[in-house]
Amino acid sequence: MRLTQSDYQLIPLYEYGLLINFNIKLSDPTYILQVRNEIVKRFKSIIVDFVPAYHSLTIHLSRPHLVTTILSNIDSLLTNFEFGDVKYEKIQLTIPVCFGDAFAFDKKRICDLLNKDWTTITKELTQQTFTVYMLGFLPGFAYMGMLPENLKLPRLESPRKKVTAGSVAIADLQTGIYPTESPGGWNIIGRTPIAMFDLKNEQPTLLQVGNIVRYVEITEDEFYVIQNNPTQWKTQVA
Amino acid sequence: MENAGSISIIKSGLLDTIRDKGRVGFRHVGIPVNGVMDASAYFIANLLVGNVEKEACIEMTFPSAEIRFNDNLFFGLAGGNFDAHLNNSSIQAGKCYNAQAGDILTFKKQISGNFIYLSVAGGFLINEVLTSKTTNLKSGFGGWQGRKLMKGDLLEVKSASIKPNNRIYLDYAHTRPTQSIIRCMNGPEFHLLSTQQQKTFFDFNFTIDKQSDTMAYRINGDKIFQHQISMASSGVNMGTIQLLPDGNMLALMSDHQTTGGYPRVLQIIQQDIRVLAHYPYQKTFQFEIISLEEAIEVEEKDILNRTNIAKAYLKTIG
Repeated sequence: MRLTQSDYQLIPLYEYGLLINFNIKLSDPTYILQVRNEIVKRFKSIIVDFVPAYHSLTIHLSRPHLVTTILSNIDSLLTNFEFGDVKYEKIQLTIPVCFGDAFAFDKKRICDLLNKDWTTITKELTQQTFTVYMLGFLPGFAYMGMLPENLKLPRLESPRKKVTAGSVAIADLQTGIYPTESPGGWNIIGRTPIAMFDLKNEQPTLLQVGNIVRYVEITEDEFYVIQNNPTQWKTQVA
Repeated sequence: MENAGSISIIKSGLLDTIRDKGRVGFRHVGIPVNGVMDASAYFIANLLVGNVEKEACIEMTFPSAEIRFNDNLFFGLAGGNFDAHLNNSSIQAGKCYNAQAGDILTFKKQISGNFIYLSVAGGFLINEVLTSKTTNLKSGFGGWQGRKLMKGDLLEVKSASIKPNNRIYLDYAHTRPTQSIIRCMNGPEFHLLSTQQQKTFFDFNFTIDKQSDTMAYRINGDKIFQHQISMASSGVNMGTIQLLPDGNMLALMSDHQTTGGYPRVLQIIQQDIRVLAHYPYQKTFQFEIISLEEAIEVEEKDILNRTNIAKAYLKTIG
């Protein structure tokens, strides 16, 4: 796949940054990472940060005057940009989730809205994989998708003031796991004993853009066993 | 290197946190910058005590903490004016003071501004987390134990390599939010508004709602700005103005999230974010549009200005 000039917009965002909006549907988030990698490779010394999102890439620069000078450089880099194969870069992870009553706070609401029983719903959720499209909202909060249309749900009418860390939730066609306790408006389907954000790790967030994630059902007993000894659960699929 | 001493919090303030220029380089995994609300005051506060390499300061709101100096230390203040006193003497921002062991620093009254920066010569001894000493209150890491400062906390101070000049006065240490114009650039979704909405943005008198915090200042808008624009979440910045469906706005401040899903209608220029940061609730302000080129010029001029101020200061201490 090759980018043409009409496939993207290059927008100056502020004195230290610019935004690339992709007009085409990129079937895989790692395409944005390929663009990121190329930009970082060419302009390493002046880029301080970047934010990949669903259809965009934000780039933060070290000095204001660079914004105008880099715009045309990035423009020529993007025109005719040739995407490589994405298959090799994907990391697959399995995340243990307990869908039991102790953790699935919105079970009744979800069953009522979808008119399905809980076992059917959780089975469907564990039979597919999700892609990490972006991180945001909180350190380590990954926006994953896509859910099948028949599991599409609106957000809660009014968000919960407190959602426990590790809560697994769904909203629209997305799923996500709250890395730390926070307010939240997504439907809670269960909880994982695995940490999504841990500063003790060299890479503090478990999930990265482009990862492939599968939820694996565990019992409440297993939840506490893993919570007490998280290293026994191997998240990464070789 | 031996420590120069310490300070103690003897009475908790409303929200006093350890801050530096921020945690940069981790926005792609959702980790916010959590820098300072007033970058200029932060710079001046450091310069006052000879911290050429910027050190973490205490960013204070009002009511502020009461602080005891446990040792003989140089300190400085910049930003708002909270009627600061060292023991019984009134002290001012923009000067370096030499506190003696046992001296008490208090802030009596919020006269102007919303944030004040306390610096100490040598800087506070704070461990870096992901390259920065700044506090992330929401996830509870960085800074002082990942939280605001509270009564009983004892912060150690590193030895300074430079003896600060305590006869100098930096006039611009006070941020005076006297201007009522906040300069902005068009945001990426501004063009999605109706012509009438676009026009009204620059005629309207806005105020800041009391439901504001360091994540975002809520700006009271109007029914005329109501919209149903939906967009995929994308990167946001300090100073980004997100338009809510009900016609009110969020001006994102130092603790903002890395991404947002509301239309980014305006982007406040860096120089005016700090003006808004110190702005009083009841006072009205207007937005004024400027071009990217103008905004870049203003910012580059400020960088040059800071460099010159720092050079001039260093000359006074030889």
